[in-house]
Amino acid sequence: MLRDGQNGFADALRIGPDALPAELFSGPPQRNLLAMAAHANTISHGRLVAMEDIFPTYRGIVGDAQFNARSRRYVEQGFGLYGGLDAIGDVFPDWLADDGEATDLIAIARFDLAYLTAYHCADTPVLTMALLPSDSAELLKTMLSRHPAASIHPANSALLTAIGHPDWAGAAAVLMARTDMSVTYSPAPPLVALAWDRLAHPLTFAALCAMFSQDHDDSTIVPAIIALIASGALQKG
Amino acid sequence: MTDLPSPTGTLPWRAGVGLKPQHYAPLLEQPSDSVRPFWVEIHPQNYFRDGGASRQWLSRVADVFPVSFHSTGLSLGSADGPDLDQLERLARLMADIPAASVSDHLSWSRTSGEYFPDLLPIPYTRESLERMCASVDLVQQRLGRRMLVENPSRMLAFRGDSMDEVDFLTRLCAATGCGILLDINNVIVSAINVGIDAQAYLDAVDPALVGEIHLAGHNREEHDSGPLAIDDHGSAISKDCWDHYERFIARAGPIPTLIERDNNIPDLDELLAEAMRADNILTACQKDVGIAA
Repeated sequence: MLRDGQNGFADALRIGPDALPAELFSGPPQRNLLAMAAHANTISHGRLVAMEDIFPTYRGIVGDAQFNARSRRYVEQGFGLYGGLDAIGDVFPDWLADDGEATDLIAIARFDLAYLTAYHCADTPVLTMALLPSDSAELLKTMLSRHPAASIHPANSALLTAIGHPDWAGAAAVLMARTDMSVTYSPAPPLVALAWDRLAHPLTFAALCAMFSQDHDDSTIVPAIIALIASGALQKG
Repeated sequence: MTDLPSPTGTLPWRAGVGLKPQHYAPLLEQPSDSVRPFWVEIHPQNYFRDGGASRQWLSRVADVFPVSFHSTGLSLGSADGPDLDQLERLARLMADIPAASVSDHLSWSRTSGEYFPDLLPIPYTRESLERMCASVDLVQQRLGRRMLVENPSRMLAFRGDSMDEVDFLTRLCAATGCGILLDINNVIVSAINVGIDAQAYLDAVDPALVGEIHLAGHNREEHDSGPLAIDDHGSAISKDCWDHYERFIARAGPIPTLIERDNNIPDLDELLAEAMRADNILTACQKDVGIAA
């Protein structure tokens, strides 16, 4: 009985008052419909506000009207409803792709999700320049790996404008990192972006340099790796 | 019922406020001789992530104030049982941040895996009671402590109810050893919406079961079918709520009391003014019964 009642209640929230089991509630039907509408409004409002909170950059670019229409359709099609509100937007970028959204804008929705991941990530120490050994032999043995808060995003004009750096037009990508409590952004030229790509698995400084040695010399490789470290995108240890 | 610590935990018998991000810094920067809450309450779901600024702020606040964990996501009344993912995340947070009290609601928010961000009502039947008892037992076992269960604000009453809400909560406490988080505003909201007698409800509550009180405001809509009260936690505490609170405390003695505001968050000073009003009622009562404040 309890399960049937809750399933009927849920159907009425999803479908509307026609799905409300007639015998479930006492009191005048008009009052019960009013109450169900209030519950449905609370639920819808909670979901849509969560979507707004998760995707501020994407929303800022496409505008409130388009964002609200899209996020409402996403929720009404049943996406993102099976975790808590903090997970409601997890598949929104994929849904946007299926919905025909422009590639640049899908990347910005992914950027918004990455921001939250970075902001709430476990407090893992960052590899800073000060932690690098001064001895070159020791430096080459230093293990490099991605910090769990860090991510990389294709640089397009909409994203660069949204994060306040239209002047980074020459960057191939934007590196996102978190140092202490703040999420930070750095421009990533092509070689820095490639170094990030190669660090899908941890490597020593020397091994990373060796991966580029056929096409680049040390005078370009080492500064690229140093720039990657300086961005806060790698972890200590 | 298992042998677990007291439902009142370590919350002081004084007034607290809900912790909001805009108040992190003002709370921690206040001089120790200024007006301060005696404890704070959080929605733990806001701190379930692994790290970052919000967790760091909470850690700093918890070094200074006792923290009550008022969960909104366990879905204790769900026919499917409580949300085990939420329970594990709550347990993990409590391993990092000491909780002076733990509570959730007499409601459900999940069925067949779908999550509804609202506190939905349950019928007051023997079947619901058994389900709630099993859920509260499971949560208390996992957390290793007693919890409080909050009376809901109701807009709907079920045709099949076989007991009233106070009877339901009292039986739940007797069967599981949990306590009641008595939200006086919710009683008033239910009185407006489903016609219960608020004073009779409060008179029927056994004060020994109450580990915490919530005071809040609500929104009121006028409809052809009569007023509809919405428990939006977005306004100042009503005179009606204060009056009921004073009468209940006069009968019950001091009980940790929260000023609850989740929308239209005012300045900290405004919240603290309401907290001090509640605290004056609590400390006056403590003097009456010979307890040092």
